[in-house]
Amino acid sequence: MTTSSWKETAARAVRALILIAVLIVAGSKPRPIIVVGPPHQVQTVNPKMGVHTRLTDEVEEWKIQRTLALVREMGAPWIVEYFPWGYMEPAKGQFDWQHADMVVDHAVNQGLTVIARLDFVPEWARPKDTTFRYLDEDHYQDYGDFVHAFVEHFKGRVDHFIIWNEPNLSFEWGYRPVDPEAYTELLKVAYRRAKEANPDCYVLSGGLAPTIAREGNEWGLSDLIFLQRMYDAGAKDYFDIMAIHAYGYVFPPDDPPAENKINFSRAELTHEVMARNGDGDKKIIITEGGWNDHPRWTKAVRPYQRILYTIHAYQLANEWDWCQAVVIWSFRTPVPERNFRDYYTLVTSGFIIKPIYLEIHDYARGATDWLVEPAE
Amino acid sequence: MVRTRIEKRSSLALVIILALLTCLSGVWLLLSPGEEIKDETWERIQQEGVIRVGMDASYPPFENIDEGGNLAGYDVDLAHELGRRFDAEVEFVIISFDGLYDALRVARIDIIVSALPFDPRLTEDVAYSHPYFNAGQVLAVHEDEGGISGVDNLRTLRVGVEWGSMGDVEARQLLRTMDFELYPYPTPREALEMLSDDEVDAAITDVVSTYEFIREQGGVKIVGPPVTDDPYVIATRLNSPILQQMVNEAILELSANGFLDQLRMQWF
Repeated sequence: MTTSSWKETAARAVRALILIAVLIVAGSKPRPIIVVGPPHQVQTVNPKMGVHTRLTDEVEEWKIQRTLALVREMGAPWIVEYFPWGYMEPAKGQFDWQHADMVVDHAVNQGLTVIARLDFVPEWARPKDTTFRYLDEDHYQDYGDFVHAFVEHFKGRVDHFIIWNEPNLSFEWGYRPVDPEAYTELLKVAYRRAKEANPDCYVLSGGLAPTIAREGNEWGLSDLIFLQRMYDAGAKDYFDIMAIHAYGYVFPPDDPPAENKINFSRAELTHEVMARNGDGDKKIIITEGGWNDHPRWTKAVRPYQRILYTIHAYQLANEWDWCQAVVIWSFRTPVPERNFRDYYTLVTSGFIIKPIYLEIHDYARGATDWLVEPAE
Repeated sequence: MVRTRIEKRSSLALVIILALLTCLSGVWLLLSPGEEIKDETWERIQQEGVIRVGMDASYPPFENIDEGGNLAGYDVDLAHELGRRFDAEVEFVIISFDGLYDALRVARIDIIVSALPFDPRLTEDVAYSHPYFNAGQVLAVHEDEGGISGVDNLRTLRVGVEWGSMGDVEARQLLRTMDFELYPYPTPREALEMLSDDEVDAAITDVVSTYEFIREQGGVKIVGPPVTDDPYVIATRLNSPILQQMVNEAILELSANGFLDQLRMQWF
């Protein structure tokens, strides 16, 4: 072999080795950028604190992890997260748990208790040109099948499940007249299927919206009347925990409750309805609630009032034996809503911490001087 | 490179063929009947003489129920002006904000005029008009102030905000890159009063509160571009192209002829 041909052979061998190395690297599974890490625990003076996390449409894993870490650091052990049926079962019997797994695993890792809200009808389970909140009785079993699959898949990680959302509002019932009896039938189907999958799970009735609408109103029905009609339809044995929404609007949390008034303490009236129906020992979880500080909405308060009222509401829940948790709406949204709803959040979509977050954080850490008074 | 005569001839022929094809296409387009634009919503508005406007009447001064029980506000007047231009009576349908888009989708209303912020996530679901108002945060200074033209000039100054507001959040963000003293107050009005009294040098407050303060009390002015943008728009269904075009034309005209400025001065 001549010197030149030897050099050519060596060069070919080196190129081949580089190519093989590149192929090995390209073919290997990449290391995950985000790792779950060691488990955390929530430190708080108030174990009833919670917040809605709304990670449904958050696609970036680091943002999911960051959100849940911030919730844990704030001192709230409870979260409600929305798991849309239509996202997870795009075709009958075909389930995609990837995103939900990611959210739940990070939440559990942060030491948070997850309450899963289950609704959002897939297109295959409803007529054309209906909203994703429309579910007719022909498809209740399909929903039950999804609930069974979800509860079974998340057994050991998620134990609390909310069946539907605000069924006492027309638009949450697919723009049809609300129907407590039909909702109760849906609840029964879901309850049976959830317990089949995990007998130890907790089924929450679908967080009723606070409204004073009377019978026959086009847009909804009073939560108190709706609940009574649920009991009349036999709902009592088909939920373990009552889920309600408790928005304070312009009233402080200790504003006295009244049937014709929507305020935070209206939750007490819900408990009274439960007690009248022999169900008073059952717990209530406020799965949505709180105050809004939009500058012009008539149902909003000033930002400093929102801070005071929110912390006071958490404190008040500690005095309500029948209240298991207060989960306020909401922590953050993946992108700005660009309307009044942005003024419910504690952290912006870009993870800018709002002053209210800092005050709640200090309260949960036991600070007695948590309130920074504004300049006079 | 030297091109042969044959190549030159081929190129010339290609140009001629393309030119002929272009001319023929143009003639075909001109002679063929254009596809008629259908808009059932617009047709119904014209036939019945009624336009149904969706609104959440709880955002004064844009829309609210006044003491007499009547709908009133900037958007109410704007909707009436649109109705006048469309030869249609305005029928307001009062719906909570959460239900407005669904109501439009299921055709319970024809249009949303309700201090509606532009939402880029929904541009495949509804058609948005040109913005008609920017409701973001602004920088206010004393009316005699001449040296501050924007947030870049706040270094070493005293800046008032409403405690916990988005103005407060913006100011805290600015504090990461420049030094100034932050003074939080319980309301925007108090922040602006402090500005008027020279207790602070500038204030970051929402534009409506600032306009209201200027109109009612004076002593301050808005400077520079908005600190944040929050454009309000009108929404129609995607299958209402004529209505959408009519709304857009109206907004441009109402902006050009001063009608929108008059509304602002009337309401805040």
